[in-house]
Amino acid sequence: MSVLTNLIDGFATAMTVTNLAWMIGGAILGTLIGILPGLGNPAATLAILLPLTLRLPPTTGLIMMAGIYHGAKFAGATTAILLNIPTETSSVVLCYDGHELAKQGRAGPAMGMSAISGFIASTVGIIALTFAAPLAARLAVNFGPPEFAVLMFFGLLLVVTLAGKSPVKGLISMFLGLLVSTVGVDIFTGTERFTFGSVNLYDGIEFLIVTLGLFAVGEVLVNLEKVRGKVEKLDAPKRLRDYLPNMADFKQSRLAIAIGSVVGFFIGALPGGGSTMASFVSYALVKNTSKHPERFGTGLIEGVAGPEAANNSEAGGAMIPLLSLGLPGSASTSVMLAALLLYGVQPGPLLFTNHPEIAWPVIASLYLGTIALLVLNLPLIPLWVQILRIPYWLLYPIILVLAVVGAYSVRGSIFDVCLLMVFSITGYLLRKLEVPATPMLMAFVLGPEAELTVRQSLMLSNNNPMIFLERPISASILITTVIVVVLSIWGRRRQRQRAAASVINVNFVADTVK
Amino acid sequence: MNMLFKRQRSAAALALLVLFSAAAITACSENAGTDTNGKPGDVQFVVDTGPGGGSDVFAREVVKIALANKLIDGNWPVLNRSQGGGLAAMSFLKQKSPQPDFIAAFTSKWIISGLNTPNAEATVKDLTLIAQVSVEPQMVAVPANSPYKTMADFIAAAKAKPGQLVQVGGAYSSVDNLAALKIQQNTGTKWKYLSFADGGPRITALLRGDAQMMLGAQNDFSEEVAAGQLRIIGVMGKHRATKFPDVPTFAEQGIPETGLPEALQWRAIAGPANMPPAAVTYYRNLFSKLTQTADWKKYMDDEGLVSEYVTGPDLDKRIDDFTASMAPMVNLLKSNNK
Repeated sequence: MSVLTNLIDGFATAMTVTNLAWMIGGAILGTLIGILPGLGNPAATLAILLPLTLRLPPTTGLIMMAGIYHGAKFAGATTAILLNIPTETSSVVLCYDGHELAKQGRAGPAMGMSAISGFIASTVGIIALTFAAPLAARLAVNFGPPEFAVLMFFGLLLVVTLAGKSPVKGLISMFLGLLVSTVGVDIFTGTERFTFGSVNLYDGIEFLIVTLGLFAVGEVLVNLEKVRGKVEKLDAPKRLRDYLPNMADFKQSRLAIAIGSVVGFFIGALPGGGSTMASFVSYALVKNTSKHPERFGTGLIEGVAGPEAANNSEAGGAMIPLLSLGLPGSASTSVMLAALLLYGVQPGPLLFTNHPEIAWPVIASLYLGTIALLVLNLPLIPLWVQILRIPYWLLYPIILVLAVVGAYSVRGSIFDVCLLMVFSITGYLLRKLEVPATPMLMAFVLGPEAELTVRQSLMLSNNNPMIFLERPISASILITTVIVVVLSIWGRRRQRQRAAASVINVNFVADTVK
Repeated sequence: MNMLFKRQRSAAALALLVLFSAAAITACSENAGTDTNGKPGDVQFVVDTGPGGGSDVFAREVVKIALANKLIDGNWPVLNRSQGGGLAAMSFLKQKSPQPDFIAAFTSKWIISGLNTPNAEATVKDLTLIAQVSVEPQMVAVPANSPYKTMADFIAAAKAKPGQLVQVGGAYSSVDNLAALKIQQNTGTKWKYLSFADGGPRITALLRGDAQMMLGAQNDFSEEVAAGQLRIIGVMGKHRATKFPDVPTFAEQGIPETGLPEALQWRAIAGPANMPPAAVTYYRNLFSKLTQTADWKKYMDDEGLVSEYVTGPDLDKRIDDFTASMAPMVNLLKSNNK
């Protein structure tokens, strides 16, 4: 078991006092920076701090980056839960249940569950990395365009099933998201789509602009309409123990954490898989295997635990393509690869044989990062939750300023600020029309990959759609999709029958009482 | 992946925070560049990729080498203007004309983007060309278990099965597809081109067997070749690659390269139009010294690049020749697309 001994060596190297100090410093910095939208996503945070970490020796620098990465990820979850502003793609799904929990005064438990399930999942991820790496590596290579295409198809279907009360409104929102995601120069043909001749739209629209507009500013606009003082304020918990998840929460989340950890690991292992897909698929699976899928979206703790677990075990999985092929699995690992290059270390399949002194401590520190996060942030949760006590006359201007600054800072373009306004108005209109905004954002995130992989597959097969059924992995995902859809339709129907039955009963009882 | 670097207003606050924290932990200090003698002041380095992208890493490496060899006094922050494959960076530089304190790392891609976009706000013609610094030899890789031992084998197979073989690469309008289309035209063959936005999936497409061939730089493949996953079957241009001396060039294999530019991928430095001559001289001196340093040579070797310092009328001619040979290829691409 050479992986195990190497990993133990890695831990030994990583756990020096200096390295741990840098890692904790990184986690704190990462959290602080991640709280600000615009700098929010881990890859951006890593990139910003690259000049700083490059002054350190390679191992220490990379370990600090691992700390930053985890800090920024946790910060993304924090803004999604507390303010309903997902600052990174993988925390979009937290808006479903995380923010609902915050509305019910349970922001503390939601954030605590996010950190704890993340920690458990990282542990699973690192164990899986030690023992299941060869299996996952084979899967990673065999996962090509048709496999991704059906996974994306699965993902988009889930967007609809997650849409809430009205499937039609969910579909409208989803198609809007798909439409927005097509903006830009198409890489497959080089054709400009909806760019109106503007270079600013050539590379498409940034995720952050869409999310800040639809969620942050849209929400502020809707609430401004309400008479001053009438806006219901979110409750911050009063007793200390309400700040942390309780035993019942854990019991409820056991299965969700398990599903999230496994799903996250395998999706993380796919080159180009990433934490967004991981958190999303995990949420959908947790929902569909639950005994009460209809209550998802109303503030269920397992709706936080599942995606957050996947989001964190993904980091373990993402190390597999790096380990076996020298390829980054996600945006964050690619920034780490860039850092390796600047240190003069050539990443590739031989990275771990040629530079074990750097590679293994980094894996170890990715794990240590989650512990640092747990130790640092659990006590700080009561502090973060105080954000909810900020009065609206102060909070709203702050959100608006942060949103504008965040939108500007992504690419340093004032055009993006104007785009932010467009999406803010869209967000406002969606709320007025009671169309959920989350499917739009989800479709926006999944759309480009879905489109590209379908076209890649059809190009490979000379436009024969059978390619999706001929390849074993894509066929099995497709079959799973069909089963999930059938089950969910069946569940919905049964639920409706039961609801109808109980209405009849109530009427009957009401009649007899009369 | 488009993000910022220290540059904007928000980043100023951020930089303050970062510096403050850094200072608190290590008490390390940033050396601010205060220059006189007509030298440009606080120089900013414009690149066309996001942080971690090719030109971004290149620019940072240049600054690192220049600092280590005391060629510059202070750090040059990198500005990421990533929209439109160089188009945004060129418009940005156009607006900065004739300021001496902005320079850009530009590549062959900027010329292609200009040719692809008839209504582009700014093209390479709107820049002050300072110097070309390196050339990136291009080569063809196949999976290690591929039946094709040479590029000639691949061409023969493509002839036998027209439109069946698959080349994997970047965007449809990228240089590797343009070059491939020219080779197909020259050899009377046809194959498919599979686009992936990122480098990782391109390599896995080869390993999985979805694609049979990829055109790229030495460093796209060297690790995989060393690990026995990929094989190099041909090198473009006149010279063999230093790392793969046994692999014959296209010319040696009898594959015509007519219509292809001498160097397909290269890196050069430019500034805003009408840059003051004193500044141009300053930068030329700087880069001529920089490309002589041992650090630079090591960097070139590590990256599989060939150092080529070209400036003045020679550089203008190179750029003109490149544009002239690329223009028909871009038109070929456009006509194929219809």
